[in-house]
Amino acid sequence: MNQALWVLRKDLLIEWRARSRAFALACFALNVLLLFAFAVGPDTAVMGQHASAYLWLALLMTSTLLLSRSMQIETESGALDALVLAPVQAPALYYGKTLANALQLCGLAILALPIVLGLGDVGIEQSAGQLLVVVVLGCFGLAAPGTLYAALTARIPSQQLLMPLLMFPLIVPCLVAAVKATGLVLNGDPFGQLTSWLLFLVCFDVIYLAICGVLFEKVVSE
Amino acid sequence: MKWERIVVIVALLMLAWSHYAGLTQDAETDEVYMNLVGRIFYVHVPIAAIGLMVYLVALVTACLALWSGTSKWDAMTEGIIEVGLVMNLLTLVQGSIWGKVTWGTWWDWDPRLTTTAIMFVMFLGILVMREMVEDPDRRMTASAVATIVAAVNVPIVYYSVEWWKEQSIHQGHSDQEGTSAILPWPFRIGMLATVLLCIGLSVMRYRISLAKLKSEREAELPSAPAKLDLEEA
Repeated sequence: MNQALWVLRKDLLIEWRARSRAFALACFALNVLLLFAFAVGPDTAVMGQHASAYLWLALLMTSTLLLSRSMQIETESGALDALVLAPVQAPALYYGKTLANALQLCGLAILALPIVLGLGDVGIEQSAGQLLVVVVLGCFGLAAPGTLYAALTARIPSQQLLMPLLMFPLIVPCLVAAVKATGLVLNGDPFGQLTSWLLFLVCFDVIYLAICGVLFEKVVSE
Repeated sequence: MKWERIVVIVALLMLAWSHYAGLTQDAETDEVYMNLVGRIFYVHVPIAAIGLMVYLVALVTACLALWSGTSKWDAMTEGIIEVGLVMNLLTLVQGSIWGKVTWGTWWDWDPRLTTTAIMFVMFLGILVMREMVEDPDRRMTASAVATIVAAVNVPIVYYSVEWWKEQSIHQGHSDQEGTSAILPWPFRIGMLATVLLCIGLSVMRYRISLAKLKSEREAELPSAPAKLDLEEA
C-alpha cells in the first residue's frame, strides 16, 4: 500500500514539474470538445442532448495520450527496470500509476465539464455530488485497463496505433455506462436508473482493477 | 492424412446433414413463435455458442502461455483466436440475415449484437498486434495478457440478453418449451460438428503458427563461429 502511494506521489510530482504537458492535454480535450460542437453545427439543443457523450469521448481520446505518456516516462531511461529492482512490487506499481492516471483524468473532466455544460446550455438536474461519483468511477474505468495496455505497448514501436486499437473496444461498456449515468445526472432521472449504471461502473472498475493488477507483473517483468 | 484434416472433413459432413435435416424438416415442427424463420436456429446457434466457447479456450491457452512461457501455447492461442474470429464473423453475418427477416433491419444497436461486434474488434486487435510485435517473447506476453483481458467480454455477451432485457430485442436463452420435440437431434449434431470443426481448424492453424514461431526462434540464434584454420594461422 505504501509503495503504491509512493508511486502515486512520484507520478503526480513528475506531472506537476512538467505542468506544460498537463496544460497541453487540457487544450487537446478542449479542442476535441470544440470539434464536436463544430461538427454538430450551431444547434445548442443537439449539443445539450449529447453533452455527456461528447464529454466522455473527449476524455477517452485524451486518456490515450495521457496513459501512453505515463508509461513512456518509465521506459525512456530505464526507470521501469530501476523501479522493479528497487524493489517496488508490480501490483503496487500498477495501482499507484492507475491512481495517478485516474486522478489526472478526473482533473481533466472537472475542467471540461463547465465547457460541455456551457456549449450545450445544460444544467445539473441531480446533485453535483452524484456527478462527481460518476466522473470518478468513469475515470477509474478508463485508467484501470488503460494503464495495463500502456505498459503492454510501451516497448512496441507502433504504440500510438496499438494502444487505442486494443483499448477502445474494451472500454465500450464503461463508456456506455459513464455516458448514460452522466446524462441521467444532467438531464434528470425520472425512472431511477442511475443506481444500476453506477453499479455497473463499480463492477467494471473492480473486475479490471483486479485482473490488471495480477497481469501487470507479467508485463513489466518481460 | 493428418488427423485434424479427417476431423474437419467429418465435421463438415455432419454439419451438412444437420443443416439439411434442420432446414428441410416438416413445417409442423417449426419453432412456435418464428415458424419458418426460426430454422436459422440450426445454423446460427451452434456457430454463436461454440464461437463463444472457443474464446474461453483461448483464455485457458493464453493463461498457460503466460505462466509456462512455452511457444506451443502461444501458437495454440493464435490458432484458436483465428478460428474464434471466423465463428464470430459468421455469427454477425447470420444474425444480420435473420435480423433483416425478423426485425426488418440488417443491424440494430441491441446489447447482444453490440457486445458481439465489440468482441470481434477486440480479438481482431490482438491478431493485428501479433503482426506488429517482432520479438516472440514480447509478442507471447502481450497477446496472452490482451487475450485474458478481452475474454472478460465473453460472459458480458452471453448474459447481455438478461442484463439489458428492457433494451434488447434479441431473444433470450432458448428453453425446451419454446422448441419442437424433433429439434434436438439436428441441433445436437450441429453443435457436435461445430465443436469438431473448431478443434480441427484450430489444430491446423496451430501447426502453421508453431512452424512460424520455430523458424523465428532459429533465426534469432547466433550463427556458429567460422572454423579457424589453425594451419594457416
